[in-house]
Amino acid sequence: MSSIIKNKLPIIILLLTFISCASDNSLNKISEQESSINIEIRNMQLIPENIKTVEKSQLTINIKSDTNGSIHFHGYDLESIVNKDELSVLKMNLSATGSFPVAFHSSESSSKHDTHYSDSINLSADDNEHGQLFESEILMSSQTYSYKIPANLSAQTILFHDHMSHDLTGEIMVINKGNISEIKIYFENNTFSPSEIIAAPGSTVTWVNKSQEQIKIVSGAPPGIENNKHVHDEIIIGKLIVNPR
Amino acid sequence: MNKLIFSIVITLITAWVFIPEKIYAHGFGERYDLPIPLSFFLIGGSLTIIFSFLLLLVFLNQKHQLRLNKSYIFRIDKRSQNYLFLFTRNIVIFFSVFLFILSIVSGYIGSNNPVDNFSSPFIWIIWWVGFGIITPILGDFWKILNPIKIIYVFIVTNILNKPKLINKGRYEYPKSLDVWPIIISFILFAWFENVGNGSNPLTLSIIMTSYTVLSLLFMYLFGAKQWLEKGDVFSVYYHIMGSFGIFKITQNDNLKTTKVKLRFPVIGLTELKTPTILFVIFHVILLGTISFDGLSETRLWTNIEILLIPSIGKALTETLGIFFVPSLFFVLLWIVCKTVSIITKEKSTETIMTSFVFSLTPIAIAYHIAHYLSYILITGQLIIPVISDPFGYGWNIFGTSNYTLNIGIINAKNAWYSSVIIIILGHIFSVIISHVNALKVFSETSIAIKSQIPILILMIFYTALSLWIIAQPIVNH
Repeated sequence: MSSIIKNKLPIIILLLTFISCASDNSLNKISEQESSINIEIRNMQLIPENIKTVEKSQLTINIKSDTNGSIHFHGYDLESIVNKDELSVLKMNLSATGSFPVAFHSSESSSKHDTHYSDSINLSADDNEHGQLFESEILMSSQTYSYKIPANLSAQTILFHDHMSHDLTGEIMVINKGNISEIKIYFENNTFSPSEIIAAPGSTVTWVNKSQEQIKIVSGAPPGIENNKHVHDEIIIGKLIVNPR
Repeated sequence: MNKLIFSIVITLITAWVFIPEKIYAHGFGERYDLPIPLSFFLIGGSLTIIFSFLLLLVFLNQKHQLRLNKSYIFRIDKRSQNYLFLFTRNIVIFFSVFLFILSIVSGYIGSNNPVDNFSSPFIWIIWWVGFGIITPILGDFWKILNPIKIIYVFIVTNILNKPKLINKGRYEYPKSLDVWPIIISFILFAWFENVGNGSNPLTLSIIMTSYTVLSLLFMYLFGAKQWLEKGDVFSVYYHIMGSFGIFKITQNDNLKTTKVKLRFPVIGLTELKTPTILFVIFHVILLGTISFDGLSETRLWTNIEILLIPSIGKALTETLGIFFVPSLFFVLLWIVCKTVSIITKEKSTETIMTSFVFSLTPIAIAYHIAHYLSYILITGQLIIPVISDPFGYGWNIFGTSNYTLNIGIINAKNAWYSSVIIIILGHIFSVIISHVNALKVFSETSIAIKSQIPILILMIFYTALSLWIIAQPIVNH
């Protein structure tokens, strides 16, 4: 008996390999069929936070949102417009594995005055319009200007720029973590330093003009680059995790 | 000793002075890597321990002799009359200088958006990451390609007509300087990469210009050969990394390549010399910053940031990380070497440190390659559009300016397999190098074997740390 097994061992191994490959292929065929998932954007948060799936499949994402805007899947670079309380459908051909950030860009207007979201407020695209949140006087050398981030502001990004030179921009990333702090942004060598900061709601941001030039700090993107605005004011709300097979 | 403390204080003050309140993360471009699953981590860790002890058993067999010194030599000087060789060499040299100047110029006159400007993708992804991966595989080709050296040699040979300035400068390289220039410049570079506004093309160009001017000045003062061997951070860095590679490049006093030797990979590390403990410090900083680069993308580091940033700011938190990780490595290395010194009763801790510090290099290199493999393959594609439009002016010279990244170029499973294999190979190479060094340092094989146990534990820790970092989800982009 043992000699038969010994002699036939290579054939048995080959057979087993073939069976395992065949079963693997059949599994692949099943999973290559379309799958779908329901996701929701509520209070600028993605539910579920991580969309988990596998590669080499077609994924249909049914999106519901409590805010008007657009959802952007980084890496795959796919974007879909979502309307408040309406079902939007996005189809993705999952050809690449990885962990891809999912971003949301709100397009609702004047929602900062809307207390719909309990105690927190959200900035809208309009708030990142030129000068909607703050606008300093012209700052001479060594003059400063401060802006206090509203204490009940939810996580999002506030853009700012120097109105005297529209090329110089920066952003304040507001996160609901960490302590209230006082952050200084220096203007020197024709640049903001730092130009991107992270701050908790309630923090105070102070711009210090350390150059000899005149500057004017204004919230929002500089005029004329509205078309690129979505690149700046989007908020990462979750991840699309595409696992390998 | 007082001098050492004084020098460390000076370095810290120098770094401190240069720290503005910046919060930029290193590099640019998103990473989409999936962390290796627990099973890969456990398999990798187990294999590390198994291979460690298997190798130890092999080395215990004293009949076994490592014959790694076989090599094949290409003598360049014999071929230097060959026009085809000269033509190829000149083309390579020309492109090196051209790409270097293009990077600087595009930073000054091009778009301020790093993705639209040639300088940032080229310097950070192609050169720093890509060339950093190629060098340990092939060898120290920076010796040939260094554009600042090429410019200096051209100036002193063809314009000043003083080729002697290549080998001998106006002054002797001061002994008191030791390797301080490379320590200080590497800390500043690591800080600039991880904390500073490194991706901004204009800032990058200003730094590159300053570095070029200073390098030319120091080459003039101390001689290019002396400066490149002792004071120039990238030449020393690539020399260490390149000693891992399969080609050994030898240059004469006039910095002309005379021979290229084909050798076993990794074995060049056993030829490296660590003259002083300061050089050990530099090497530990190098290893530590490579690890910190990955560590700074983990959730652990994000939690530390959330804890510290409100009180001391992001820049200082990152700066502390850059100092803390290499310091921790140094302390661990010191403890291990002290233990070896006590066990073997033959050599001082300092001698053991200088002899064994390069044993850890293969793990660092392997980790570097594993960590950046998918990054170079995916984010490295950013160079394709900017080749056609280096300044971001909307040009389309080669028809590639609208190229979009192929994010599926490497599958996560392949990345996991290759990462684990590369890191384990790095570990195996480290154990071999350490053994070769031990046979050189200690009088008897039995003592050499005994010395390896504490070092092996350190290596297993370092390999496990590298695997652990790769097993963490990337948090910062």
